[in-house]
Amino acid sequence: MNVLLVILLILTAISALGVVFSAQTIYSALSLVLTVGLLAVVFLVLNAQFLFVVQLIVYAGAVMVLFVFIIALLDPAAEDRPRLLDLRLILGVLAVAALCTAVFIAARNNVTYDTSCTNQAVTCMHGYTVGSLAATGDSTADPFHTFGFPQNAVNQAGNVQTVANQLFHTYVLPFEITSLLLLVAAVGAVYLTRRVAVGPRRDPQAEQRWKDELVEGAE
Amino acid sequence: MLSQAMFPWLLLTAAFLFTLGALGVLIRRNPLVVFMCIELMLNAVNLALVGYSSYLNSEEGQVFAFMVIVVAAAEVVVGLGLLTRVFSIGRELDVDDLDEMKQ
Amino acid sequence: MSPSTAALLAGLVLLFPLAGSALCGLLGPVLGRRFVNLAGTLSIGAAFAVTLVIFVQVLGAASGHQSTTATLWNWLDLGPGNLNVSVDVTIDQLSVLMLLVITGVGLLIHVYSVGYMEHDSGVARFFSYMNLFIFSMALLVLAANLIILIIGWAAVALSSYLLIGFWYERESAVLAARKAMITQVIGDVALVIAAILIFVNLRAVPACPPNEKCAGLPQSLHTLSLPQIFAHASSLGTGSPLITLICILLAVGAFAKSAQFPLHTWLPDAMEGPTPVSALIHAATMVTAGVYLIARFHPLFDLAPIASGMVACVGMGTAVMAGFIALSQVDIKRVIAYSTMSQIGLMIFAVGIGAYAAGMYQFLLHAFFKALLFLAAGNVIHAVHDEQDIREMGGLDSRMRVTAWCFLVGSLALAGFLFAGMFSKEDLLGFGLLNGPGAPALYVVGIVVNVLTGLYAFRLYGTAFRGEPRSDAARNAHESKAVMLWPVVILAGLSALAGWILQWPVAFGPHLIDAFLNPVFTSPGSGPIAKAPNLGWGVIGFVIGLTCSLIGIAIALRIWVRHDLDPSRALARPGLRLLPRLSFNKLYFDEIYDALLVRPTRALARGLRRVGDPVMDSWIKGVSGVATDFSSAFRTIQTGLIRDYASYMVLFVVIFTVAVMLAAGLAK
Repeated sequence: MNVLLVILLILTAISALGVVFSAQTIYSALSLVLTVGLLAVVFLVLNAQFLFVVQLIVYAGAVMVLFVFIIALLDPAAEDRPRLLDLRLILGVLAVAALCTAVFIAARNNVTYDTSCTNQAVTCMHGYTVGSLAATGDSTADPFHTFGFPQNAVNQAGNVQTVANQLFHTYVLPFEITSLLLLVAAVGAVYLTRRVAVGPRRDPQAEQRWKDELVEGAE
Repeated sequence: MLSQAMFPWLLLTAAFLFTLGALGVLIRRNPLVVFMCIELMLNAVNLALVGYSSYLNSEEGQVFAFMVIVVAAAEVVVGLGLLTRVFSIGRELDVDDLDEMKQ
Repeated sequence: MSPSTAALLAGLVLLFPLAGSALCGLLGPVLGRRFVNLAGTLSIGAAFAVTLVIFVQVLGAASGHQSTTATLWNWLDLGPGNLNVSVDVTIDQLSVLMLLVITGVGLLIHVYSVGYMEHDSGVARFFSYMNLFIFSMALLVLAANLIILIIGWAAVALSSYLLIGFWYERESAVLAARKAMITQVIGDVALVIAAILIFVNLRAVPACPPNEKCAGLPQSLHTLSLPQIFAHASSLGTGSPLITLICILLAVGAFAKSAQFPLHTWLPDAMEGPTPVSALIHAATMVTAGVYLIARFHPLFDLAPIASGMVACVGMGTAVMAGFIALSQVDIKRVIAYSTMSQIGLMIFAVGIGAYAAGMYQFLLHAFFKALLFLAAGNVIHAVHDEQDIREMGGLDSRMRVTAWCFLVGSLALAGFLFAGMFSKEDLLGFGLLNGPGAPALYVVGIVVNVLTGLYAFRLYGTAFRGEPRSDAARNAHESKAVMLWPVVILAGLSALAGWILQWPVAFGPHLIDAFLNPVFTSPGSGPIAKAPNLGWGVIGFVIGLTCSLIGIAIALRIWVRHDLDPSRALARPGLRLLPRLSFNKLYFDEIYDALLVRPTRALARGLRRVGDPVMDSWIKGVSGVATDFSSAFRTIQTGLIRDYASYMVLFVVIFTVAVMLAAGLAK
């Protein structure tokens, strides 16, 4: 499993590079399809079958199709390569290096989540020792049933059932609120894409009017 | 369940994807690609959440990853709606061209 | 009936109209008029057939086992000890009686609509809304859970809103729809508050003991399940302020739905909708939901005599008020609307004094003759080319023979002579002799209502159908098509015969509905219900009531048919001069509400704006001025480019994250 995971992660990283550095927009989009697909497989390997399906349906299915449609509709031109001495590029590369190093070192030293932690240090949530709870299966010490399930007990009923159990019990309110979010997004999209009376493409007057409106709005 | 040895590598990949997305947001001028990079960042977060979920044997990470996917879908809908709107009033697809925030 | 059978049958009753609504709404515009007519009507027919099966099952069930509560599915579960709602349905005599009327009369009216909406392009939308209404109403009466009941309650208001505003190009229709919706929402809010009060006060009560008769019911009290609430109603305290408050809130919900004072003004305006809508929703079914609600919640109302007394007074007050207004209205549909309000006032009075079965009896018969009157009025309106003013009609009896005869039957039934109204009205007024606050004070008012009913019923009949035609449209009127006549004839038959069948062989005293429904209203544990009048009182009440009805009818016939009695001289006397104006202007309720609520609110808003604008502006300008001064220093980094802002963000996010991780590492 580990070998498979390593290969998947490396492939994901490579295809993600493709998203960022392709000159043609459509290549970026295709790389992103590959990335989310690979991530879906990673989810499967990590025993998250439900998310595997959701990732494929929502991302690879809906979101990416939307992207491809919009690319076909708007037909964006290829972009110049950024200059090497662009300040933003330097900042971004530094950020990649710094954050990756920090996270990796932290994870190797069990700072991100310490399984053997026994004191109430910053890094120990609730002060529970996950490993020991996992060994004894003592859930009374954990009133929220958040951590420390006996090994693999979580998915005994099946991944979809356990996730659904959480979604519809503990997190039913946030779950319902996401429906509101989607509704707002749908209404917003309809509002934004409604037909408005403006001139043809590259109409300087319309552009000026739009700018004026914005300025007026700002004032 | 994710092994202790693999966990840092998984987090490293998540961090790499996240910062790569951020880098893309910084250097790309095409708003469509910028949105894709944001999707990349959200996916990186999902990877970390699912990784933790598997590592800690708790499904809550997956629930949150699910929420993130919903939010991402909503964000794409609104974002792409905005882009077509910008396009329909005759503007070019270039984030550097949209500097009205200055005013 | 086993719970699984009950769940299946109730589910079917709900499913057919819902599917019909979806089919008509989604496929109707594509597949055309014939499909819509078929789908819209057949769905209700199917629901009616299932209802008949349920009715037979309930009739055949052993006594004491007629009521079945079944769970369709668990809907909302907020965790142990918290709200836990399941979609429960109750099938008992009360809900089955309601269902019979809803689907049965509904079916007739749907058939009628096929003819009535023949030339309307929005027929798919119409049938979709009508089916949605039947679904909502069925949900409302089947619900065995307060939350589900409230959902049905709000859904009927929604379908009513959609149907009143069906001709949305007319401003008056849109305004009427809005008025109805707003008034009903007042009732919805009252219901929700009542539900919250019940929930908060009952969740502390220990759950049902396993070996008692509530064993079959849900075991926890945080479900808002109606049988549970009723089983534990006494723990809210008998006659306590709490249960009085809950019952008053429930009654406010009922008043808003049933157009009772002071929430009645929406009903006459609701006549802007198509006539079948007025017949189905604003006469036969939805407006009687308030009566149903109080009857359904009788275990609570039995414990709150003050609230019940209030309900009885409001009902009788509305009955006499609406009867008075109906005397001088000139719009044919509005007259019938006010008579509906008046008749429902009597039902509300009946349930207020605890004569629940009598109230439901009146509901059943009223549904027949009021739907009949509305549909006949629809025929008339059709025949005289959408003219609704009765002053422009007249002489229609020779031109529309069948409709005129049916209307006469309906008017007699409404006035309470020979047909339906005679039985139910005298029955419930008979209860008024012995029960209710200050009995028999309200009975006397009820007698006045009887006279008024006879007056306005035959004023309407006489003005619209007798005499000489007063317009070209009336002169050229001709009878409607068969599809619009048959439902009217069937309803006329029902109005004429139902009372006699249900009460054979004597016209007063106990009737079949009473025997059918009483098990629901005398469940052990509830308080004593209304005292039934004995035979002597029954005869006396019946004779008085009938005499008063006849007096009303006779006066009306002399004034408006034979024209040998002129009321204008009598009304010219100084003490009475105001009456016609008051009646014609509907007691100025709209104007009073406008002056009391709308204008002050507007004036307040205007005043606040005058004060608020300078005050708030100076605040905001001051704040923005400080911010402008402060931010001018940072202005240079505001390039307006998203990428620059993103750069700042990334920079500080990276610094922050690395710092936190370093700190955590050091702490370790």
